[in-house]
Amino acid sequence: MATATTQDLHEEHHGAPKSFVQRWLMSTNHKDIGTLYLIFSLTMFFVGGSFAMLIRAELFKPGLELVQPYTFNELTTMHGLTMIFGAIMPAFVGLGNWMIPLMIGAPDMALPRMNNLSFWILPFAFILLYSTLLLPGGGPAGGWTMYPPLSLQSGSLAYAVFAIHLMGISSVMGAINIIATILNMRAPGMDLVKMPVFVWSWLITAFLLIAVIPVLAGAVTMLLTDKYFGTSFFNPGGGGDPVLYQHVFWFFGHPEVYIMILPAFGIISEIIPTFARKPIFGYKAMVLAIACIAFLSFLVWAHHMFAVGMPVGADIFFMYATMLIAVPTGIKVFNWVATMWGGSLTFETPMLFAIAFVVLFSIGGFSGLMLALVPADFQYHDTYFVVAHFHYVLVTGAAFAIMGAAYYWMPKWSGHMYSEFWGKVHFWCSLVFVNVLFFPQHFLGLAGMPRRIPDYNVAFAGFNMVSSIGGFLFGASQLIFLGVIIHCVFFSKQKAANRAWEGAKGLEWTVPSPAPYHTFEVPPVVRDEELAHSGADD
Amino acid sequence: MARMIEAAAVGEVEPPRRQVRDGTAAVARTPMGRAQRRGVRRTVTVLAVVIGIFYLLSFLQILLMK
Repeated sequence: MATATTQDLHEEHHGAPKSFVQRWLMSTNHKDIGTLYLIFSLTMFFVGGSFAMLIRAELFKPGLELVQPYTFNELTTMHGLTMIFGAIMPAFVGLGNWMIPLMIGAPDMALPRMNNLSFWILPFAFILLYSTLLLPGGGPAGGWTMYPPLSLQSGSLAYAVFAIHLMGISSVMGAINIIATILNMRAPGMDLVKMPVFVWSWLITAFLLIAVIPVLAGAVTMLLTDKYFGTSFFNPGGGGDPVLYQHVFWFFGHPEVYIMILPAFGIISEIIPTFARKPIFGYKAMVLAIACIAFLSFLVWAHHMFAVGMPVGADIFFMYATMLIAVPTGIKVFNWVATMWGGSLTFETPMLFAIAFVVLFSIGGFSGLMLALVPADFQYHDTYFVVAHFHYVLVTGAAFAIMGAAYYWMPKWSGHMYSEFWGKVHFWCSLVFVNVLFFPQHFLGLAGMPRRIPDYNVAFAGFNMVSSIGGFLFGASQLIFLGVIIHCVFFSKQKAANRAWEGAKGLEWTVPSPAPYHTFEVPPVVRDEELAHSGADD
Repeated sequence: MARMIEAAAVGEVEPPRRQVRDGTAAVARTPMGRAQRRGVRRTVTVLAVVIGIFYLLSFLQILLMK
């Protein structure tokens, strides 16, 4: 097991600044910054979740019950922006910050000061965004996609655009840091084709971020100039076209969807081999599938806008290109199942989340295939079917993977084992209630209930009530998650071993638990048999 | 200290460096660390140029289409 010659004798926090301000506000340590990202992400998860609770409370029964329509639109907009830019993306950046240097044997991220800056931009961006709710006229209410002309009616557009620019700059700096780290800071012997799949998934995601964030910046700046500088990009009255915005936005937006799911693929590819006690099946195929999905994500943007009326040739191209994504995704699902096949499976909490991910993400993938069909999309477009689809991808996909990752790596972060009993309670409650929340929304969509409405026909009342009850219970279940984390970090008596899981392989499990403040100051010796995919036949 | 600086000037030893807090400091002084820093600088330069061009194109379209 002695593969890493790290300075194990270090105390847990040896070298850590004593002052709180220096340790947390001015930190350049990848573990501390990773922790900051994860705490921020969890906070935003609860903030965005509370917006969702209000939305579901309003939709509990027909009629305007709690909020006015404009406030409802503000809630859906803020919920989307918070969950995407505040919860899911920072969670993956936090996991990347914590784990990538440990997995590749690097002492830290390549650009530690920029790492600090890219984190600390985020809280200010969200304070700016939320401050718009207090402005006269209210916050942005045109949905997270900010389609004109609706979004141009908001008096707080400039604030929202500036906040989005800040979030984008933060993401780009994070992406530069991750690429520079992975390409240059690997320990001797850690070739690219020996890297864990999670590291690969982040490398590809970082390139996606670099390619599309400037496009988002351009799109929202055009909104700004249309509103305040007399341009007419999206104003037909001045020769513009609102559909242009949709093209530019979704050229960013669809790769953004993959930015939120590719690191999740990487996480699942770490968890399943550990608890199946087998190397990942088809390592190279898994990496190529991620790269293939990333490439295809640039060719499918217009499937979000079939209903605007494009030429038939364009409809057909985007339909088939979208369906093509099912091939590399199918390879991944097949390989995860093949990894489990014949393995010595055990079902600890991370594995439960990983298996739930494979099944429920596939449901989200299949409903995505239904939406890819142009004639069918004309029926489903802008209905609750779409809401159900992307929540299966982003909640039971991305969020479940993040929760699984938290349980998987928490012993390495905190030095203690979490309560397996309460972890499983959290899992089963989440699994049941997330389906109660989102599965009926498929039926609502098929029956014709539109998205983004605070009131609806009484015919939709039953399923909406069920969905809201599921939503409240799913939200409450996440308090168990919070309790498990607090207990594990502050109160758990059960010490975690260096290798917290019997089947775990990789450099991160060779350092003590909790990981010392500085690791791999002396580069580790990388042995093939200790890598996560050692023994894989390709 | 004076002797060290003198020795550094004729290339005998590494000049004393300011202590930095981040975790890369320890390996930065080794040959591998120096090679890594060179690689990081190259990567960041290329990425900065690419991202700069992307941002420029995004904003250029605003000027051209205005």
